[in-house]
Amino acid sequence: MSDPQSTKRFSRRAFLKVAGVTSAGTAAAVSCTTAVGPTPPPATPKAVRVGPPAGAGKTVLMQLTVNGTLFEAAVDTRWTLAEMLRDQLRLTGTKVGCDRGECGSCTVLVDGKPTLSCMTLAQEMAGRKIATVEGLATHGRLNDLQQAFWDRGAAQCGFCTSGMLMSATALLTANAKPTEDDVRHALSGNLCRCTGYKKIVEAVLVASGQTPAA
Amino acid sequence: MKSFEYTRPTSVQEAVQLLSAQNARALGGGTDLLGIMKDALLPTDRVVDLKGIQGLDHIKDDAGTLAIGALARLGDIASSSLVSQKAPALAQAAGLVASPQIRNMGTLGGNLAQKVRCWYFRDADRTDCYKRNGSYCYAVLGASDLHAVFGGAACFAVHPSDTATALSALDASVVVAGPKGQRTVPIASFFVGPDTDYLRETVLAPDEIITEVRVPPGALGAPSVFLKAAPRRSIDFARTSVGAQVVGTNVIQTARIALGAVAPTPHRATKAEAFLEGKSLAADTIAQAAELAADGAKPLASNAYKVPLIKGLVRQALTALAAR
Repeated sequence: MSDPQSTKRFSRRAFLKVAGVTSAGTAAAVSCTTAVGPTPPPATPKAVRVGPPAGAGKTVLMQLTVNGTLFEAAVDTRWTLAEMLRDQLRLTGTKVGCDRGECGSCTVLVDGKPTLSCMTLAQEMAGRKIATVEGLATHGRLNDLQQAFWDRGAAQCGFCTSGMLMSATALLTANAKPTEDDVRHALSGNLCRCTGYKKIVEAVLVASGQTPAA
Repeated sequence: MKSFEYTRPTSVQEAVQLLSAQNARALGGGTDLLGIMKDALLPTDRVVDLKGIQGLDHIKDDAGTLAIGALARLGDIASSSLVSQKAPALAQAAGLVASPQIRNMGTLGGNLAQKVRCWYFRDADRTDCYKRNGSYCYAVLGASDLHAVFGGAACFAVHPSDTATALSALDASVVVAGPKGQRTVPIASFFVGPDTDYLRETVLAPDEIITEVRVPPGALGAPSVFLKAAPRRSIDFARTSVGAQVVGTNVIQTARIALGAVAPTPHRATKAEAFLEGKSLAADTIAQAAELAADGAKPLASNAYKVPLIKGLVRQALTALAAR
């Protein structure tokens, strides 16, 4: 869209890159169209209101922070966090693979900790801070970790990538210079069905300023 | 998921009261319960989220006893220096559960109170499985790779918990709260086999919850170890695990060897334990104890591989303890 990369050559990689930017843009759109609440008292951050999703059953109104934005959402009480992020906030960068807690593709950070959004009830998240892959890039610019994935070709089909990025983000926050073993351990809950682990591990090492062993 | 009532009590008393309703289920980390609800394996009308209760996630030295709250996360237990020093088998077991994400979410209480991982029980279509209040066990004539070699009766599902195996070797107790107050249950009698009741895995009544796990002073500080065999090193349940502890320098006073994923409850290898008492951990003693650990095993059609696995893991565990 506004990313100059996309006008050059629409390769698969460029598509993936743009797709990431697009989903962040969609979240911004949600905030514009649904912010209709009364003016909150000063010093309280203004919550972005999100109405119930189409076809919702019973809903509960709750506040949570996603990628730094405070949302007040009418959440379907049966929904998981993954469903709410994808189908209500339109943050579809978080992927649902097995939907049973076995593959890690739905990994997001809850208060900084890698968490399976498919095995977490959305309504449990009241007051929590969620970070998803859409929050990594700023103004359409990939962060160092994403750039390292890009440069190393650490995505094949790309389905596991957002989960890998979130697990790696938590690792690099806790440990700025991880060893290869540290990286493999931190990513051990994320399955890559293309089996492209080598480049993924290398990318995390590169992002931490290290040169992977040949 | 079918609709359900979500409740978030702030006290143990309130929680057990909420659990007294029909088809009410306790929610800890959710990594077991949400799967059960998605597949509608067990009717669930009310979810009682225990995480609103303060003060149940401690990991502390309580006058010489290691006390761990039921809501303590597996990842926090694995990385606790107190647990690693005092009860290494438990820290190792917690660190080998599933994946980093599940260890961030999963609680100790939930790991002990989880339902079985039998692939027939977890198959939404097998509604006549004993564990789902039916009257059939598919494993008896079907694929029994995951199943029990000890103690099966009607149902042959094994208890999947890694921490239960470690805590059985550490002589732990489980503090249980219910409407009538608290009781402390030795871990050896906490788990229930299908010969007692195939619909449940523990002594917990529907309106009881685990509040704390306690490892006694006698088991703290003595060498202990936990080993786990699974097809994958991560995100996998044990095919066989062992928790072992020996108390006594040079001459063994007490030996505890608990086997996981081979029986409907953690299985104590009592013959091997008795054999070790009064001896030292010499190589030939270890080899004989490892043979005895599999004594009485009765494999089904496709799980005979567990017998050499038990022997090998026990040998490795005791060899590791001998090196301490």
